[in-house]
Amino acid sequence: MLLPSFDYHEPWDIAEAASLLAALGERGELIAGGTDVLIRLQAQGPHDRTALIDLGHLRDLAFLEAKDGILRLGALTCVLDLEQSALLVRTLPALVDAARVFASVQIRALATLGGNLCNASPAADLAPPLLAAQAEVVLRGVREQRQVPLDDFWLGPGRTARSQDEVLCEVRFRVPGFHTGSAYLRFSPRRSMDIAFVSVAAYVTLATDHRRIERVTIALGAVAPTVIRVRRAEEFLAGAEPEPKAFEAAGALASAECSPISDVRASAEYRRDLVRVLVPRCLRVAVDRALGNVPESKAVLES
Amino acid sequence: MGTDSHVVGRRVPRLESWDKVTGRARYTADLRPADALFATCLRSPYAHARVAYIDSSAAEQLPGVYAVVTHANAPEKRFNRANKWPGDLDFLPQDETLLTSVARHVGDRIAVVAAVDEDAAREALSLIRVEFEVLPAVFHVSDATQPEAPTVHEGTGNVAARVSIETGDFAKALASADLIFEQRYTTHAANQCPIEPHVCFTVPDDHGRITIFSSTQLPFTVQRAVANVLGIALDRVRLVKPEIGGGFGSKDELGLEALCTLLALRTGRAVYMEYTREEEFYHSHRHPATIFLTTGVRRDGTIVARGAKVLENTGAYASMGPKVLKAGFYHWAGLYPCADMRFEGLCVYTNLPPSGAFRGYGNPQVTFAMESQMDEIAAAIGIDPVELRLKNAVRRGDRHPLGFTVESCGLENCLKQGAEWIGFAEKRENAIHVSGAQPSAPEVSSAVLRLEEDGTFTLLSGTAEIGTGTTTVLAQIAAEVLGIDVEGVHVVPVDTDQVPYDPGAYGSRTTFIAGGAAKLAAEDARHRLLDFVARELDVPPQAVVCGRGRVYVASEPDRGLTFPEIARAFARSDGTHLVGEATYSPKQNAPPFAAAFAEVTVDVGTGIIRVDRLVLAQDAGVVINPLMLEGQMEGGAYQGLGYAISEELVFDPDTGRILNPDLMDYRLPTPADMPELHTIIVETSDPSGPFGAKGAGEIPLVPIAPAVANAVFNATGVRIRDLPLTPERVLRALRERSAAEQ
Amino acid sequence: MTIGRSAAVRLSLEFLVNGEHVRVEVEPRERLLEVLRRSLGLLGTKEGCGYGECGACTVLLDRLPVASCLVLAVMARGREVTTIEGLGRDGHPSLLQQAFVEFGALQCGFCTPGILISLEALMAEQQEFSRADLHRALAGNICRCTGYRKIEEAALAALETRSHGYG
Repeated sequence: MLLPSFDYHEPWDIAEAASLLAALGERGELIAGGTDVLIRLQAQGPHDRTALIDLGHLRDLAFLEAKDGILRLGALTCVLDLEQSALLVRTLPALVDAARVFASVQIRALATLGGNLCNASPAADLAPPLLAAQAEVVLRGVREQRQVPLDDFWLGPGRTARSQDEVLCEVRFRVPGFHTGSAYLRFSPRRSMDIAFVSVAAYVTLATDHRRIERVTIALGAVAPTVIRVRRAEEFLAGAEPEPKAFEAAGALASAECSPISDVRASAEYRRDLVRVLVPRCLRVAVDRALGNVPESKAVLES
Repeated sequence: MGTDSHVVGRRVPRLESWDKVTGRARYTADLRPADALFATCLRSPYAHARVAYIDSSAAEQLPGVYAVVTHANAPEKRFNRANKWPGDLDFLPQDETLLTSVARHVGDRIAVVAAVDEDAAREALSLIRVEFEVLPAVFHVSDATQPEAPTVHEGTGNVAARVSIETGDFAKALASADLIFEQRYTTHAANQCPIEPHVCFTVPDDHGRITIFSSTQLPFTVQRAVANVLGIALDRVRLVKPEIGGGFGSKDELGLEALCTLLALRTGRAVYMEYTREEEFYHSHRHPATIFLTTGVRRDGTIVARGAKVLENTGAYASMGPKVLKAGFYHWAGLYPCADMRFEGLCVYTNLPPSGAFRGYGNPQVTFAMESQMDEIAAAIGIDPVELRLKNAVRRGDRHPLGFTVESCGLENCLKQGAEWIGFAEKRENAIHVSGAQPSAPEVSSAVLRLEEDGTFTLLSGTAEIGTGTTTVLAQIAAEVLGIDVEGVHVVPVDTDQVPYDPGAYGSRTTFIAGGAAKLAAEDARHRLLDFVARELDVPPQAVVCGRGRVYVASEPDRGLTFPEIARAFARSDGTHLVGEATYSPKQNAPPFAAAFAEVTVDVGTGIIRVDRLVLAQDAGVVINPLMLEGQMEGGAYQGLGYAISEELVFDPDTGRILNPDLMDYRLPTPADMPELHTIIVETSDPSGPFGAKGAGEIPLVPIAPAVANAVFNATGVRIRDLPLTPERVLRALRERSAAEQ
Repeated sequence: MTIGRSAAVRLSLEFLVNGEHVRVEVEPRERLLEVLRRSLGLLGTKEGCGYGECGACTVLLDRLPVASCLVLAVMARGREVTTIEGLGRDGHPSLLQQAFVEFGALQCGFCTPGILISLEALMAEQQEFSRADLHRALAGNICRCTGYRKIEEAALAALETRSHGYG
């Protein structure tokens, strides 16, 4: 099936992109990798007229670097680069976990970080790891630039805090210290090329003696209108011993804290069951990684 | 076969391999004429609705639109999309029209538009004004068979067909049993999912003929179907079959061809139509079924009475539903023959999209039930599951319910070798299944072999290569008989103007029947070669033999003619090509057999089943080409796996829409999901097949689901009788079992 | 052509296809898939779904496998595209193509071009690969006919042949 016709714009920098967005209003839509936008476009009616703003020339939005203790990911970084980043393996392996199960190579080579986050699917793979890392996004509009924590970024399925004229430029979070580890687990019936029924990301910081959990953030996907943090489970684990019973209790709390729906993939009840089972498994991996991430360790973190 | 065969039994790569790996192979969409109009259908969004009002005038006036057809100006002939000639017009309900004024399922065809391009066609669709009067709909067999149920077809009840067969005295035999087992099983709708969706284009010429290029499994059958539906003379229709990107039964019926031909006739232009992937999901699917089994056994495991009741959901149009139902009976009855059996089946209309043919054709459904129950019986009695089957299974020499004698049966070896390979006796964490799929009812196939001037042979056969390796196998058979290399046989693409009749590729029939015809035609050609050379050399016919591309005097090998020499001499003397031909109509159909063993791991936290190992042992008679046969076995196992654990068409219970008509939520297994797969070929030889070969294409799919279900039982103690075994279903079953234990 | 449609904008597109410099005029809405098939006559790449799931449309874009049904042709400007027609060298088939034929790693063949492209990328990217690497490389290529077993065998055989210095 052919794509419908659309107006097409190729800005050369962020300012131009933002102006176009402002001028085109609701008709205007950014396109980066195209793997979400072009599918949505096929569903539009014959009398709709979209204006696509192609970000392809904004190559300075594709970067992946650590600077001054902050890890910065450009919005146009493609998912394949996330998957293959040694820097991310060391700092946020949960994001590499997610990039690995993200669709297929053919999609990863095109899809971008910014696109995945702005598409705002509650099942988006890249979202939970970044939410668990307490990342923030940098948005630039015609007049100003601002930072929005991911906690406040997603408003509902397909909706974000992005204003009409804003371009998401980068995602950034603190480079973790030692004794931290993260992991992402996704449940889908198939081992690849599938979508999350439920997903979990956990980001754990252990006390230096590894006897207790100092701090943990847990993000869940596909169990609420947006990706969410489960704070009661997090609070429960703060100060707790990193052992199976605590993880299971956290799983039960997380399961009660989410609000899944029933759809063609799974019933709400089954999703809650999955949360209960997956949270402890994810925590275990995150803790293992934290245990391996110590000053004396020479090995690069496994993921 | 023995070591004296020189091409039969060899792993010959498929003849069209190089075209396919270089991108040179041409499928239907590749041949699309640049000036063809684009046509597409307006489809009902409702499962059951009357078209109260339809106005296509705005669409017709749109520049670039060449034709708009609705029920008001479409041929009214009623047909069955699965008609095969000649018998089906009397046997199958002729319940469908090209376009309808009563939509009976979501997606039913209301109108069709042909326009200069896709944009114009889609815009024209949006300009057709339709008002629907929504009617009550039914989606489940249980609802459709209620007395006050809405009827899918006005004037007829919702039972499209009924099958009732009894042998011996079932009730009496059941009463004499030591133990009676009664269970209910359900199976679901699965989509064939060929990677190439349905596609066709039609080209009218200046003499009133239409050439159809179509991705179909049935060139001749569809040619006749188009003529029948449109009420035009058969000789006005020609069908050419390009390479096909898979069918698996989805293309085993009339698809887009009649509509596309109608538009070509009305506009005088070439017309192109294709399905979107979503339309492909709506086209047809495996009949969902509910199967009740009642089996009486003696304490030693001998089956003394067998009863089955099968309720089949055939959707809005009957299609081949009655035949699928009957096939289910044959497969169920034929595997464990028993003197006292009772079978009742209902083929029921609902307002779901029509069910259709899918590799296995009724067999996977009844066999899931039958083979699950065998393990349930084995467990209850305390007998080894393999032993139970060996005790009761059909054997060589037995009489098949269809009335013929089973002349080859490798089932015992399939069971024993499969069991040994997977370590069944030691592990017990796996399960087995057996099945005897059979080629479809006796029909006919013809073949012609023509000797060309360069000494090669051209083979004309009407059967359709759809990716199964048919062409290669036919060439091997002919080459074997003629004593030449397989490269010396060229199989021409199917064009109904050029090749002799064959109904098409379905029912595991191509090697068996078309191959049989090719063998006879080759023998006829060889006979003529011998005859001719004998005359040329002035020796008695018995004195000459054929081999290595020559015909020569057996006692004086230097005296002979090469095939090119024969061709030229024949042209000089007879003025034409030397031709061998044959028509083959076998009296009986040799069933193939298979057994599958599965080893699974069940994640009791999530319910996910991982099939770790799968062993499939299959008896296809004498193997013409092991490489092709393995391909069918591995591919069938793959589809069987999807059917067992992940593929499921989900219908909205209120609207009858398909909720997952896409490749994300219709879950085909990915490479990472495949188990370690081991195939075992068990050779037998059947006197009725070419060189002893039997059909092979469908049966590898059939045993997988019950093997997996039985393995899940062995691993967890939980028996699940409903397909597919999705993680949620498994987890729920595990939970229910724990709750029951408390 | 139709009422209400503004005149189609056409952009000039220059890029490399199978090593050859190509220039075409395209509308922004044209996908790389149909430009390859209809404008350039490279019919080996297929459409199976139109939304990036089946992999039949896979081509290499700057040596990375991509779903060409989700790439706007204009995005290929100045870049390098390889299709099935571009595999092999100087008229000789690639090791993978040869292995596919020998091992029977194809049946209907509709998915085959996409699969070969994905595997060629893997061969080019990695000196060695395991079955797990194959699973990753082929996750986005659906084959309904073969069950993947012979495809994997063929890929591993091609790798073996290469490691012995042949081709």
